[in-house]
Amino acid sequence: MNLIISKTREKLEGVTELIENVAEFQQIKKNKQFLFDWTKEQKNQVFKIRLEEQEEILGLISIIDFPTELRIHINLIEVAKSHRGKNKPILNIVGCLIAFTCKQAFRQKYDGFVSLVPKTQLIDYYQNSYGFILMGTQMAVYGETASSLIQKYIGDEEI
Amino acid sequence: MKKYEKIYKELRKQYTDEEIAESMLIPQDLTAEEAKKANKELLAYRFKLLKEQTEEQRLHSELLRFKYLMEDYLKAQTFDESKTFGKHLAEYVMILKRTKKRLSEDLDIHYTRLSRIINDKEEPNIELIYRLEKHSANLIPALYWWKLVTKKQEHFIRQDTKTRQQEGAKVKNAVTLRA
Repeated sequence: MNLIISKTREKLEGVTELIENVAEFQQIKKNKQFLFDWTKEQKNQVFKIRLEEQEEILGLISIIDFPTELRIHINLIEVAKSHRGKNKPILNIVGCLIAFTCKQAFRQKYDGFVSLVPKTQLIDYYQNSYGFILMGTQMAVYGETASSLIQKYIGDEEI
Repeated sequence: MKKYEKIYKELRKQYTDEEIAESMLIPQDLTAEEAKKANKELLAYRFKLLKEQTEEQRLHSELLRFKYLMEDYLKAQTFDESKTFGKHLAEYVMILKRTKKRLSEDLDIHYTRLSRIINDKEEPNIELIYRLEKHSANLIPALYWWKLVTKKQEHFIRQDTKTRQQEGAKVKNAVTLRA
């Protein structure tokens, strides 16, 4: 994954893991790094992103699989408080989480189709930064654009 | 005030819109009816796109799916008989919707040899791996194909006590080390 140290531009290896444990959701709730109540996302699939060999959670994503609609919907994303704002130490956390979801959507034969419904004020950002396009109220990314996001934020995995 | 609107307004006191979008996805507060309408709209777009999908787009998506599942297998610890190089090559032929004969011509190898490789009766050489990388428009790296071969070999070496003993018996003057 292309997590980058903002000061040195050094690339860091990231790991994305499914949170399955109720106790971990409770720990996140108590963690002052996160604003949203992530226990409410337990009905969805919630993944955390962290650096390899480090336990600190950098960010969280909640996704919903819609197999009959051949898409994955991103319900919520949140980066830890210490990695927000203009002085954030690590770049690309949200990009890596979106690219991770696109990859999942390719695996599931959805053509990389990923949807989300951001607040109206933030639509332009998702359009310009990640290539999401408006499809009614929702926005989506798929195909070539989804593939480009994977290349940019994840690249070919070390195997 | 709506749930997410409240959070957004709080964050806005500290961050710009761009900084907020760079660190979270704040969803729109939709009523159940609005959400239903939004899903219906998106579904219409989704199926329109599927209907209009070109063969090139289908191929691109299928090859990426193939690549990511191959990656998952290569990262997993266990060897799987149903995921050998030959089985992957058979799936590649199916994705391309080409015949084995056509693929053997594309790759400039004899049809019989390709068939033997697909049926796991023969292992590929590195030259074929490079050709496959090129054939997949460089989407599937040569190293991925090659690791399918080495994963099988590693499994074989772990299991093969018989040959190990037979070959060991032929060794003379083995290095001796004191613990």
